[in-house]
Amino acid sequence: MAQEASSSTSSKTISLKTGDGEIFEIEASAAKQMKTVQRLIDDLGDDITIPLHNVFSKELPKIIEYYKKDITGEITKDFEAEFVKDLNDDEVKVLFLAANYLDANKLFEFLSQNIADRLESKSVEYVRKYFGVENDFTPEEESKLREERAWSFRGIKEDE
Amino acid sequence: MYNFHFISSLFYETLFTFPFPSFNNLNFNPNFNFMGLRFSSFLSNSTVSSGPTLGELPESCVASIIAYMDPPQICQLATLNRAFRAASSADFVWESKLPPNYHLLLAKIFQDFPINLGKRDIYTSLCRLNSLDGGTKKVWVDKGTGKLCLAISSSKGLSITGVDDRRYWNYIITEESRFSTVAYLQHTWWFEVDGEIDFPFPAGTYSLFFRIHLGRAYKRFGRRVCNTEHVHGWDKKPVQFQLWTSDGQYVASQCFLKEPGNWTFYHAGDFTVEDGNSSTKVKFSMTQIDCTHTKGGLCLDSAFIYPSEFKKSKAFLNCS
Repeated sequence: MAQEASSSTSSKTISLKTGDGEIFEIEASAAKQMKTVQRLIDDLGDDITIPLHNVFSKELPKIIEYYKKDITGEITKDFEAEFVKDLNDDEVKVLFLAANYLDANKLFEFLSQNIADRLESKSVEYVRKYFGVENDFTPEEESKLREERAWSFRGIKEDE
Repeated sequence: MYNFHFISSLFYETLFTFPFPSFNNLNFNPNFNFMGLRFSSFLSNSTVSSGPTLGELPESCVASIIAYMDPPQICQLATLNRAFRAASSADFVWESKLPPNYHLLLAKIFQDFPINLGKRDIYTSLCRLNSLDGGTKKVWVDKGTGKLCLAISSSKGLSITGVDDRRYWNYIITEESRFSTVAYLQHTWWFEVDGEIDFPFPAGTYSLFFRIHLGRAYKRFGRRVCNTEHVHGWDKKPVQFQLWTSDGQYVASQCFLKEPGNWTFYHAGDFTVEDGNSSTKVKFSMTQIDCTHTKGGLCLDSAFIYPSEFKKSKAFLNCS
């Protein structure tokens, strides 16, 4: 046990506890990819079960699956396509929020791309509903915005 | 640095030791600032909804998503709410959309471009139909793809043999061009149009086209009518195209002009730019100089240089 401190972290596993009380194991090298987790490990030690109050048992296994592939360098376009294939919009959102919370950059970027793809060519109203955002502009800001949009792509003649 | 992380992790612990709401009621405390370590603070006061919402995300997270969208959509979404508006003007979003050599482009196109303009404003400025060389050329960035396009006018932009002889050539005013006039050929033995351009094209492959209309179009009682009385001679021999670059690329091709009544883009050839950090000089010509017969009834608008991928993606470039 005393020798553990000096051994490399590559084969060590970290215990993560979700907000709904379930525990999952992850390799230390994969945990390193999630900066929030790594910070908690740095501060609390790697023998403790790391609490992740904002991540739940529904999504954490998926995230672990992603990083398991990442540390072995096996993330391919096919894998990524499979990864999101059966996820509905809400599930992608939850994963995205979790990746944000965990500061898991690679997954975060990948999901940003995926969400952008899902919203491609969709109307403004669709995007509004998707993000659940309400218009919080003041009337002055609204009119300023209309002016801005008026000149932003003005003067472009469409080709014929 | 260590102390900060230590404190922030303690903060996580204390904040979340009270019973946490159920999964379906995710409701981030709008004043909680843990992501404010790097990002701006959470937006406030969205109503609790039944599913997870992204409305509470800091603007840098919104920016990360919209960075993968195309520019027109990004501009549309600026109207959603404040976070989207702020995210849509984030420099890093637009940095990736700009042509890599945009500094060179700005220097070439504008006399004195304000240096502290945000990247989005730089992008929209480049997307306008910018004039070059006294208005004889127009250059713009295609707003959806961020790729550079160029048009060279037949009026003083291109060199047309015999253009000053009004028995052969005239300039006619039109609304059907990016320029206000196009050159109209009644007849000639020697049909030759030459052009050249020296410009810092971003690295990539480009296609050169001549936009041509057989017949003369005009409006009659509001309807477009085409007069083809002068159209002749194009079916006897094909038109020859040639293209040269200063780094030794050369391409030659030929084709017959056809389809009176429509503006058609005739593909003259392609060239590749390896390095966007220097200026590329391109010369090109279109000729039909078989002096056994005359040819005429042709409107020449301009020469266009488009990224080669537009041949597939833009319907108007379905070339002959």
